Amino acid sequence: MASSEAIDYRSTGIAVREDIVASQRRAWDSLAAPGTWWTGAERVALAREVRAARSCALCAERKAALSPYAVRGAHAAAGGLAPAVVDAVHRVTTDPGRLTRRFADDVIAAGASDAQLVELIGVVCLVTLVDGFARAIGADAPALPDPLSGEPTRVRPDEAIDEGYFVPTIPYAIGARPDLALFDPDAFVPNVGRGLSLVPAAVRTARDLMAAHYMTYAQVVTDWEAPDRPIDRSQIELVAARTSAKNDCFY
Amino acid sequence: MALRASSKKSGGDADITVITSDAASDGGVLHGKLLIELVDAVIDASADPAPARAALVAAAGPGLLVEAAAVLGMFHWNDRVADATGAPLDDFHIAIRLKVGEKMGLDARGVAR
Repeated sequence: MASSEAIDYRSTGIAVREDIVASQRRAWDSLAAPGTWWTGAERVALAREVRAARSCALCAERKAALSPYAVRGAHAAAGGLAPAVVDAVHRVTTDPGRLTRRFADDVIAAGASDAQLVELIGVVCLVTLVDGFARAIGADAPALPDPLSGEPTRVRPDEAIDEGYFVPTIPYAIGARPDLALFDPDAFVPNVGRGLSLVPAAVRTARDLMAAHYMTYAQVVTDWEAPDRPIDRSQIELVAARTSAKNDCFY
Repeated sequence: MALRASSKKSGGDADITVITSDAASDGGVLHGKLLIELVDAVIDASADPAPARAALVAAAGPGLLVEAAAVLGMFHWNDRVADATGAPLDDFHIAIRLKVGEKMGLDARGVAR
């Protein structure tokens, strides 16, 4: 199914800002295409796994447990992915607030590369964003796209280094250079904005979605108010903060 | 914190404790209670968001619902990137984080990292 058919909220009777729809369609197109380290089919399988995680009994039991590592068992998996990859998708989807370095180390020890993990996280984030948006406005979760054939680019940025994250990242001063153009020049980009930079395509998708759904990083530390949106800045920040609290994210 | 700063700029005085309190309230933000109830119902997989959605639309119109949904979606993304990549706190956040954490009881809830 084409993204223009999948991402279409007209059936709700609610008018959705066109730039929101357009950014989600671009992201949905990228989901179907070969990525940097995963094929299109693998990326769509990761997306399918995000949805499977929401009804996974093991994930529910883990979420309720004192430690997310206290409960063992098998995930209710959608299929087609290695067990360690399934586990990573389920953990990021259902219990992100209790992820530690052990989570990343375990996935990598099981055979995934650090860059594959970063791209996986980007896919989980995308599906969670789109599905969360749809649920909030009363729409069905959009159909997943049909995967496109082709090979991943497998280009690892030499500029990524250890900056204290679980995975290597590109420092702001390097990523803001015109040749990379990952980050706005002369702007404050918080550490979270560089978390996916081992896979630059994921950062570009994030920037596109940020501008339409929230604001650009350059606007975050200013008094910016959206002139064309029926929401004021304190309402935006209330929703953002409450969402983070409910996700147990204290970044 | 962005909520408090944005509220002060517009002449308000947002109560940041509403972010983590169990009972929803406006907290000094227009339609704040309804926005919080929407977020809670959307994130709780066992909840039906329809009543919260309808209440928000009735009070503020569908435009605010769409905008709230967009921000909620984006923070599903940002929160997972921060937690799954182990993004360190930014330097300027640390002092603020300690003050806010104390006021809101965040440290009592535990910080996984």
